[in-house]
Order: sequence, then structure tokens, then C-alpha cells
Amino acid sequence: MNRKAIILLIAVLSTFLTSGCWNYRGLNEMAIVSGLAIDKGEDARGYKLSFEILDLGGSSKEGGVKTKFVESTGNTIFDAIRNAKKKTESKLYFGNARIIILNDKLARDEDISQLMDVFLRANEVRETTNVVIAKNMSAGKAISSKTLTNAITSFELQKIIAEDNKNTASTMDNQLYKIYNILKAPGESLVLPAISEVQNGKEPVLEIDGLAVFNGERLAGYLTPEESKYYLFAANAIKGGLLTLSVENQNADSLSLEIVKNKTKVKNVYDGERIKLIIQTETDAYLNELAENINVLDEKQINEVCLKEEEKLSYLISSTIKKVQNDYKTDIFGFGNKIYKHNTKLWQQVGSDWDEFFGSAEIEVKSKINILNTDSIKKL
Amino acid sequence: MQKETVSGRQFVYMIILFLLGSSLIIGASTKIGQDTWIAIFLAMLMSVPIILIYARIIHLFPEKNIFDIFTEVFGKVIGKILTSLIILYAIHLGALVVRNFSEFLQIMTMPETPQLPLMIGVLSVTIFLAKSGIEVLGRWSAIILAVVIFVICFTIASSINKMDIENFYPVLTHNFFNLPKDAFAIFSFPFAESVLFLALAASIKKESSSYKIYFSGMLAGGIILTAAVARNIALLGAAMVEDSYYPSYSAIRIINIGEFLTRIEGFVSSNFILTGVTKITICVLAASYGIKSLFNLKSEKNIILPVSLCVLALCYIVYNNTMQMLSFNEIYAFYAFPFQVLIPIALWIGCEIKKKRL
Repeated sequence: MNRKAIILLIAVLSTFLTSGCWNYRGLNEMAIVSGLAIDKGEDARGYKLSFEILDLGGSSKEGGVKTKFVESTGNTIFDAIRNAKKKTESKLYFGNARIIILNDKLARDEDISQLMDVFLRANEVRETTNVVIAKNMSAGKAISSKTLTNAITSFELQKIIAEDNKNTASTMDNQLYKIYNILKAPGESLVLPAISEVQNGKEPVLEIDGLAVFNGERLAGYLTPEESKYYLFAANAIKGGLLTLSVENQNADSLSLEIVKNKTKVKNVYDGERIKLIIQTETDAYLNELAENINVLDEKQINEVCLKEEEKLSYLISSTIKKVQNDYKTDIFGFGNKIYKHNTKLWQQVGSDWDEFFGSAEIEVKSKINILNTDSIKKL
Repeated sequence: MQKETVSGRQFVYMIILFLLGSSLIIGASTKIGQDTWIAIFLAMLMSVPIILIYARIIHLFPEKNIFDIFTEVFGKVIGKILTSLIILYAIHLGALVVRNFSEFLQIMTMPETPQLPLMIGVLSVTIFLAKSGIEVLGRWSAIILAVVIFVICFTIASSINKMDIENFYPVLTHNFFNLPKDAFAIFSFPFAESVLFLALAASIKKESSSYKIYFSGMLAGGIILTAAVARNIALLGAAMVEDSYYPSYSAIRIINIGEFLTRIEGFVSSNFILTGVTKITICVLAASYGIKSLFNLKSEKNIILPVSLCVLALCYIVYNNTMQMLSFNEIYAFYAFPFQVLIPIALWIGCEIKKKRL
């Protein structure tokens, strides 16, 4: 009996003493990072990192969550992350980091896969963290600037980027694991969303500013938001956005088509020297704005709208591709990757210097627009 | 004492869980990225003859385990030598699996915790499970398998929106020799590891067919493994699958349904541990049965604790770091070949000759 009682006592005590986390970190002991920015170190050696940290100290009655900023420097990126502990009470926690902002100059001078390595390795950082390039400003400034609605800049920025493709089609979001795959994929180059600062009324805010184009590992240049839309068409990645045109008026657009669905097919013809890329897009759209005298019930007039837009769209897609061919000579559209995946024989011939083949490729674009409805109004 | 028996169906469940054990978490790592699922099918084909041999041995000597058959076929001396070899293999395999798990837990979830407590934690559960006997293990397998299959189906269903079928292309464009090489690696880990079930064979109910048990176990295990690997490829892409230590875990981290159903990897990694515990228990049981027959003991129950401590000691010293674990996986196929193929073939030939003479 006595022995049993002792055993029971030990059992009960050990549940209290040995269970739970010995290295428990409570919310009050964590500095939760919502996003971070990487710049070059001041004397061009090492890195300067800026972290946006959720401030859990203040009560929620005083206007929601606030954020604080921590800056730190180090020889390597991870060194800089640890050095932040010199300034903060608790260690940084990256489980909720949504965004990594890279400085334009850093991305031009250093390999992106080396910059991203520490984040892919670390178990705290999610594979789904977004990466963004800050254009015309330091990354640290970008993360510390205000956004319009959300108090947490990183969260708002991430949301803007993730939802952009469906609404304005001016950029393309890429997450850590996708970046890793694209960098390793033959015949495809990386694009990342670019942001820059604009004036909204009197205060400066962050805005999406097209795409950053990579040639291999290094940043090569940018596409404007308008060009990015046609990039998305060519890469078969567009999910929404608007097309504007006019039928009668030459100077100003007066019609808006909202893209509902798009399907892009790429065919390639190889004649032994040059490759010819035939890009066919088929787009379903709603006619949402019509400030012209067109009878939407008349099939002929609607067809004329379609034809006009088809002409315009195919011209703009092909000029965007040509711009990339001439300026960057790198296949951000993944045309080569499609060949690698579905036409191994051709890839064996052209794969070794695909960038050359892409740069000299002949481009032909055929676009097709279907207008599905004209919203709730029959006539103007 | 009444002999413990397990029904044929529960034996199948045990084989399935055993096959999924650590390969589910390591994700049958290969060098051929998007073609891994083909390698698994090829490995299943490769393991058909060897599994026929295992089943034939059980069929010829029903209600006996591999150690009894050794002595019966080869005599006392050679029988004891072969018995000790299989015991060593079982203990070593158990140690490797424990190590896989402690490395996984340390890298992915508890970087600050030393591995020894993790190993002790996993092993105390297996000691308890093994001591409860093979009957309990059979029933445990039935429940756990349902959980495991549910979780895999659930992760596939909830990640369909993030999958990209393009990740599977190009098909079979890698170096010609890599496919059979990787298939052979998958053949030896996990499929041919089921040689250890020969040690538990004495507990199979008499009326169930050993062929049916082995084949349905292997087929179901292979299909579940293929589904998990295909999910990883579709979610992560070939490069990430090739280069990450634990592709299944990384793939599950990507799941995100409307910002609500997200970060479920903790829930899923418990799934890995459940299958792992089953596999380790089977290794420990197999070694205990072996020692029981080696020293003519009455019961294997008292041996389980010492065997588990051996496993613990071995898994603590077997590698210095994670990189060694991965490089050993590459030569494991050759190391395990005698235990998985040569000894069973010799035994099978011996069995056939012995049966003819009778």
C-alpha cells in the first residue's frame, strides 16, 4: 500500500515537472516579425536589415495593433537577424513574416538564390513568404512607410500583391518555394513584383509598380504595370484585370472590358536556325463600361468591338515580348520551359543556349475576345 | 500461456504502416524529381519476386517464425548465426528509424531540444506498445491506418487548388540509369524491409493466406506512398522535392484555404510519428522474438526493454549529423541486400529441399 502511494505520488509529480516545453516562449517573449527588408550594408560589405515587428504592448482599445521597426547589420543575412537581439528584449520570430523586400541595387549585384537561402532553410519562415523588389528607394524605407488601411505595412502589401492578379493584373506574386523552382527550371527566368512610392493626396504611400525582370540570378530591369499585364497574358497567368479601348474615338479610350477568363496557348516552329513562337490567347470578358454610341444587341457592332480589341491586344502582347527580347534577352514567359517539358527532342537542340534562341525568336500573336455580357444595361 | 494471434487483415494493416513508416516523411527521396512516382511503381514491380519468396517461406512453415525455420532447415549452428544476423538488422533498422524521427523533430519543430529526450520519448511509447503484445499492435494498426489514410486524403483534397500538373513534366528524361538506381533504393527502403515480418509470422492466424497478406500490404502501402509523393511533386515542384530533407512536411506547409485552414503541419506531423512508432515497434518485436529463440527463452516480454535500450544506444551513436544520415541512405540498399534478399533466398531454397525430402 505504502509503495503504491509513493509510486502514485511520483507519477503525479512527474506529470507536472516533466511535461510542457522546457524552452517555452510565450507571446510576451516573442518579437513577431511581420515583414523584413534587406539592403546593402553601409560600407558595401554585409547587409542591413529592417524588421517590422508587431507591437503587442499597447492595449487594443487604442486603435488596434501597432508596429515598430528594428534595424540591424551583419556580415551575413542571418548574422544581421541575430544582431537584432542586441536591440530587442526578445528574439525575433519569423513564423508570421509575410513579405521580404529586397533593395534594387542588392538584387542587381548579388545572386537572388543566395539571398533567399537562409529563409528557405530556416524552419520558422514559411515557404509561402512573398518576395518584393523596392524600386527607386531603399527597402528599409519601403517597409517603414505607411499603407492606407492596415496598420501593418507588410500584411497590407502582401494582400495587395496576392490579389492584384485578379483585379488589376499589373504584377505577379512569387513565393519562396516557387522562386526556388523557377531558378532551377530550364528555360524560364524569374519575375518578382516591384513596388515604389507614390503621392496619394499629400501623404506618400506604397504602390505596385509592375514587375522586376531577372536574368538568371540577377535583376536586369523592370516592366511597367501596363506591360506586366501583357506579360501575364503571354505567360498564361492572367486571372482578371481590365482592357480598355475605343472604337470611334482615336485619342481616348471609352470602353472597358473586364477579363473573366483567359487561356493562352503557345506553339513553336523550328526551322533549324530560328524558332518561331505562335501565341494564341482566348479571353472571355464582360463589357462593363461603354461611353460610346454602340448598340450592344447588334452582333455586328459587338463583333467590331471584339475585332478592335483583338488587334490592339495582339499588338501589345507582341510588343511586350519584343521589348523583353531586345532589352533583357531572358525568357521570363517560360516559353523554353514549355518546350523542355513537352517537347524533349526540340529542347535537346535549342536548350543549351535558349536565351539566344529566345532573343532571336519570331513572334506571332493571335488574340480572340469573347464578350459574354454587358452587365445590366442594354443600351446607352 | 495461450499463443497470441493476429488476423490476416490486421497483418496487412501492419505491413502498410510499416512501409509508410519513415518513407512517408522522407518522401522516398530520389535524384529524379518529378519521376519519383514512376520509381515507386518500378520498385513495387522489383519487390514482387522477393515478396513471393517471403510469402512462400511462411506458406511452407505456417505458425512458425523465421528463427524457428532457420534452425529447422540449417541446423543449430548455422541457424543461430543467421538468427543473430537478422536480430542485428532489426535492431539497426529500428535505430535508423528512431534517428530519422529525432532528426526530423529537431530540424523542423524543436531546434533547441537535444535529440536524446526525443528518442527516449518515442521509444517509451514503442516499449509500451511492444510489451502489450502483437495482438494489441494489430488492433492499434487498424485504428492508426484509418487516421493515416484520412490525413493523406485530407491533405490532398485541401491542397488541390495549389497543385500544378505541369510539375510532372517532362516525364522520363533523366539519365537512363538513374531510374532503376532510385527504384532499387526504394525497393530496399521501404519495400524489402518487410522481411522483418517473417519474424512475426508465427502469429498469423492459420487460415489466412500469406501471399494475400504480403501482396495486399505491399500494393496498398505502395499506392499510399505514391499518392503522398505525387502530392509533394504537384505542390512543391521537382527542384524543391529533390532538395528538401522533408518534402512532405514542406508541401503541407503550403496548404492554405482562405487564410483559415492553414499551418496544419503540426497536426500532420503527428501522422508521421504514428506510422514511425508502428515501424519501430515492429523492429523491436522482431529483434525480441529473435533473441527469445536464440537463447531458448520462455517469453519475449522481458527482452523488449533491453532491446529498446540497444536501439536507443545505437541510434544515438549511429550518425554524427543529418548529412551522414542522408549519405547513408544512398548506400543503405547495398548494406541491406544480404538481409533482405540473400538470406531469404538461401532460406527459401533450403525450405524447398527440406519439404521435398519429407
